[in-house]
Amino acid sequence: MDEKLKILEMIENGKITAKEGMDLISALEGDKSLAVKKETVSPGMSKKYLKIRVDSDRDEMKTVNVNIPLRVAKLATKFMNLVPKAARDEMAENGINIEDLNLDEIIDALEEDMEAMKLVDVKGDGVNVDIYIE
Amino acid sequence: MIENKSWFILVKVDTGKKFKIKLPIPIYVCTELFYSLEGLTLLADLALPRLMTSKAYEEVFGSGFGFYNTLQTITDLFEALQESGSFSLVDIDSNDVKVSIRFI
Repeated sequence: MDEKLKILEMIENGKITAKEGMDLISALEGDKSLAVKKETVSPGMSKKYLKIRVDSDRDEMKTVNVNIPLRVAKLATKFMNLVPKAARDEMAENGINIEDLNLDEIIDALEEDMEAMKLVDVKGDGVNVDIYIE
Repeated sequence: MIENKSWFILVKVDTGKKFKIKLPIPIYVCTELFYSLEGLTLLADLALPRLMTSKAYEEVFGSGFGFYNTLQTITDLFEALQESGSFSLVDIDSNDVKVSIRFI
């Protein structure tokens, strides 16, 4: 806002023409929209995590916190090839075909959603499990 | 951008009085190590299917398995972790042991 005011003052004082001022304002707005676009689109800037929190009253395990960056979670699709054939067959018998799972699309959708989202919330016998995107 | 990268994997294990370890592992060392194994994995991909019967190979590694591809995936994983900057990957707190893995 300050920059725009300065440009208008420069026009008022006759330092630049109205057309030059208009060009400067356009350039200013262009830069800002470019900066916003970079912030939202660039995958390198994504700071969302898949967070797993386990809190337990039990003595053997009190808390487990796992934070997985979503961009790292995307690589999970590549690890599908490492699932043993026997396990794949067993999953297929139960109607789950891991080759049909499109994790990339799911993670892209989670990444685009700007608000924090709770995926799983389980409260059991002295154990709470939360899985969420933040 | 350099400031968005992490440089070390800091592994901390604390079992109270018995055992305590704080181990910073440079990520570049890991990725370079994986790069240096590329030749070996290519050789393994070439040799093992010929040295083993196809049934034995499938039983041990699975039909779609390849050493080179697996190594590439692990290298990609490390690069993605490094690009994610500083963060805590795992924190486990129990009565006997505390374990934390952080990227710093």
